[in-house]
Amino acid sequence: MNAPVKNPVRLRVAVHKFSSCDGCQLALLNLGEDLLTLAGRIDLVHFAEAGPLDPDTDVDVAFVEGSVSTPEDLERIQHIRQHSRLLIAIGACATAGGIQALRNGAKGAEWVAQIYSHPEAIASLERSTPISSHVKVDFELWGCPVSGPQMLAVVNSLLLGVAPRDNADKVCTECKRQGYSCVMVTRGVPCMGPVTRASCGALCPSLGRDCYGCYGPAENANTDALAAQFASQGLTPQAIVRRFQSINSQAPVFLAAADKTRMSGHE
Amino acid sequence: MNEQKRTVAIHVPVLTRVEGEGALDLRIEDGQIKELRLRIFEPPRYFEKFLEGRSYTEIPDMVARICGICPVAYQVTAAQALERLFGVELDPWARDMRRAFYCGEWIQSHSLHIHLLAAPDFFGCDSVIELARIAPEEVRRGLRIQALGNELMDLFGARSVHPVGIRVGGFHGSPSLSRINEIREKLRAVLPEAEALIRWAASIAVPQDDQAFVSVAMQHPSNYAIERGLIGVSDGLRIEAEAFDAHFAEHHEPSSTALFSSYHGQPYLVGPLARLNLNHARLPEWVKTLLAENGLALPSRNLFHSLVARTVEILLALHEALRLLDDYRVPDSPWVPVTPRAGVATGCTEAPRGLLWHRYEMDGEGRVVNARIVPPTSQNQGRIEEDLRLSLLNFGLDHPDDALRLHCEKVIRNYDPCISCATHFLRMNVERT
Amino acid sequence: MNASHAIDAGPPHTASVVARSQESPTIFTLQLRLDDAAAQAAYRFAPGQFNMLYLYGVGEVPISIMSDPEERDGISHTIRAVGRVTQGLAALKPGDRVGLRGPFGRGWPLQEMGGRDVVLVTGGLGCAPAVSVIHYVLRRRERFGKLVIIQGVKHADDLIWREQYDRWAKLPDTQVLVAADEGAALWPWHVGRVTELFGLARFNPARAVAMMCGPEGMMRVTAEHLLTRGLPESSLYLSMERNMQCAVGRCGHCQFGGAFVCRDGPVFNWGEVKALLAHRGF
Ligand SMILES: Cc1cc2nc3c(=O)[nH]c(=O)nc-3n(C[C@H](O)[C@H](O)[C@H](O)COP(=O)(O)OP(=O)(O)OC[C@H]3O[C@@H](n4cnc5c(N)ncnc54)[C@H](O)[C@@H]3O)c2cc1C
Ligand code: SF4
Ligand code: SF4
Ligand code: SF4
Repeated sequence: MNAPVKNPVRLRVAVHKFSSCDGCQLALLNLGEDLLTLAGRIDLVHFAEAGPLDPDTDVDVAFVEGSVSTPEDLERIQHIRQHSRLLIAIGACATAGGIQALRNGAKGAEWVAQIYSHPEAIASLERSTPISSHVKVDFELWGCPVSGPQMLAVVNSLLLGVAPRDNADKVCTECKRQGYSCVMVTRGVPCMGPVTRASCGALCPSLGRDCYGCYGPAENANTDALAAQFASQGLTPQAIVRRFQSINSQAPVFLAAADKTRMSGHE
Repeated sequence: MNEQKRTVAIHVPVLTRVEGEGALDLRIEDGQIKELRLRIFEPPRYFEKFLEGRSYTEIPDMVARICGICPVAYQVTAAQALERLFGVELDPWARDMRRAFYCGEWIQSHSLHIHLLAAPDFFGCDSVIELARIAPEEVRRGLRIQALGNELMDLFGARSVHPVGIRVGGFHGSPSLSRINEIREKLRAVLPEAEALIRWAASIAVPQDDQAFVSVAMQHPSNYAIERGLIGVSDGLRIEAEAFDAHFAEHHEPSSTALFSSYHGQPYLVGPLARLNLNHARLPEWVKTLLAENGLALPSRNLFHSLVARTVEILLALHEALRLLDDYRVPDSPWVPVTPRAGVATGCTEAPRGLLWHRYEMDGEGRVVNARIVPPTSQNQGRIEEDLRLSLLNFGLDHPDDALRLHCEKVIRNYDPCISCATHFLRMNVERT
Repeated sequence: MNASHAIDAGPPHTASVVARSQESPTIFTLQLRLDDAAAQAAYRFAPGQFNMLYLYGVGEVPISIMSDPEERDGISHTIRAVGRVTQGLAALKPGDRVGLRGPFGRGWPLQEMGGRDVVLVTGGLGCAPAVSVIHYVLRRRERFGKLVIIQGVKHADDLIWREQYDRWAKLPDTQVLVAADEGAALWPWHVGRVTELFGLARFNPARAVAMMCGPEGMMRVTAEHLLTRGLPESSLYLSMERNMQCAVGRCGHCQFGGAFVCRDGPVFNWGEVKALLAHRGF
């Protein structure tokens, strides 16, 4: 991010929703009593799910949840960009197209026809795409969903006029710090932790299960090595593809890993 | 006003404080409602299609993403449907904890709806933040109860939005006794607050409305149905989840991206009020007394009682969670092994917003061949339209557009519609000729 | 390290900003008080030790404690805004909160100073951790020999606490030598390298103890000078700075040879580190 807001009098904040499950906005709505404290420090100008509705006023920060997936979305995201000093994409939908981007490889029109009896009435783009495919995004907060602490950290950084911190480390580092025993090493469970971006606090390994990559790719993710590891653990090429093609299927690193597996594995 | 001859089309943003986007088209001619259509613009997310080919092990994590507010409902329904097909007998521990986990979601979702979405209406406020200025104690109490619901979900799922704890066959992990004891203390401490919440909700003046409608909710012989039971209808029908298709049908209206459901061709209600209407006999005596004291007679024909119904379910869920966590023991294994088999997996549970029905056709390797998911909101859609029509007539069409709009909003919010596959701005177009 | 009072590896304690003053365009001082009154009353530190200051969601940084160790109702830090966290700290106002862990590390060898001449050579903000030593000495003036304060800055405008230096310069048995690489109008002190002032310093090398804090290059040159004047190696101390994360010797970020700067330092005896300091950039 390159233009942090310098000590604004009061941060004017908007929360916008695109194609999503609403789960990322809940990072704010589930803050409990802290929500009122937060409301005391920022002006929530637009946040339809919480009440305030004013998508046209200029704001300091716009948090955008969800992916672009309808023709109307294309215009709306431009409008939001024009009225926001900083635009922050929150969650897998907004940073990678979300789980609904699993349709990108498929024939959208066919699917519509199979579900709806009036397919002509369904306005939907062929592909579900991240916000950064359409406008300049100042900061991306990964995760499905993003957590309350992640959101508060961003807001607090902006209130202090500094750039939010991007934690692109791997889930494994958090797993080690918490002292969880590795499910891949101790129980042979294929885990996405080695290529997945940190910040959840290694929730899945805390329950003794594998990470399934909901925070998207970490920096310098060695997907080749992980795919080889998965294969040595007995995963079929199809199963390996499914590991990379899930919540963050359109993240370039995971997309490439899946393609490579498909090509080498004769799926 | 109804004498006007020109056509007025007003675009007003309506549905804030619902999850999603929709619009209402209202056409009034000579004082009569000529057209009333609720349009839901939900950019379709095609869950049912991309589940195809996925392994049963992935389903709970994937279907959670349908809704951030009730992921547990989706996870539990899917897991149970598959367990039934695979012939898995859950450990009694896991059965109990599934219900406790689900209670957490009811508590969280209901408190969120009451305080953040619905109550501001009744106090003339725009948002919970405004409401907190005039009713700070009540709002804080609500946020505390909501937080406790989240905590209960954290306990089993490590987080409350898209929890990661459920697997087909049970849970991935089990909470320690010390964490259970901690949460039991908190649950016990909040009970009086939940009772006060019921009294507060009952004291909020709501419009008097009286409508005949069909209620649909699950029923269980020995408890208040949440995650197990038969599908019951207020006309006396009792069916297994498998028989859903024989009585309920989904159809697509061009105006909406959610499918409409009907029961024998008519709209019906699912959700807290439908549940209370069908299961009030199962309520503990003291809850019945509490309701009688607060003037709520069941079954109720006034949808505005949904708010109180949610508060009652919060109290029930708190008690239920406490009961289930009594004598907690850490299980030898939180899950049992599963062997997939081909066939059709069907199941339903009571999501916070009402009946949720899943059907998966599975192949022999445990992969999805075909999936169908009927969420509560699409079931309520027909009922919402019908309700709007009736309650607008009851309210009076002569009111200015703004008042009509506000009334419609209130009506729609009773259903807590989760159109989360949608984007925002429900616009209301009123046309009067 | 005053172990009994240390708030160590656990979560930070909250502290409120009691006062804030701007010392130069980029340097500011925060006076903090722990929100827990009992913890504040029990807080003890030795000059030369540091705290970890935490800004929620922004990050945590090591900062030396510059207040007087005798002061009970506040803890002061003088900070230069150089990056994310320190810029965030710069935005704080009285009433705002920070997280605080500490004190950490090994401070200056006060127990060895009794009866000896005390020579402090600092560069830039290196003066911050030395100020608490000055306060310590001035409070117990009779217990020490000469006090020599040498401070170098890049530009005259970088010198903070000018009045204090003026005041100290007037005290008996106290010598203040200040230099700026670049001077300015009305700059009363030396213009040029601080090393050029060494010849003016009056102390008895045989009974002096010297402490250095500043850029490593400056400290190397200073050490060479002091050693040539006959100061024994064992009387020469320096405070080191390294990137730190945990401050309790676990993460390894501040590892310096076989030592951890956070735990074994930041103050080292010259003998302990001279070999490594000979390698530039180590
Ligand atoms: C034991 C110890 C005591 C310290 N005491 C103090 C003190 O009393 N007052 C004080 O202001 N600082 C002190 N520091 C230095 C302080 O910790 C760092 O300035 C701080 O960590 C920088 O963090 P940041 O997030 O603001 O900058 P970052 O974002 O991490 O860095 C931003 C930029 O500044 C540069 N930078 C980082 N540190 C410094 C530095 N020290 N000097 C110049 N450039 C730097 C980086 O290389 C980078 O280019 C001390 C350090 C240690 C180890
Ligand atoms: S990223 Fe995940 S949690 Fe967030 S809105 Fe999208 S599906 Fe929901
Ligand atoms: S369990 Fe997963 S996240 Fe944890 S260390 Fe092992 S591979 Fe990494
Ligand atoms: S461990 Fe992986 S899948 Fe689990 S919550 Fe964290 S990032 Fe998501």
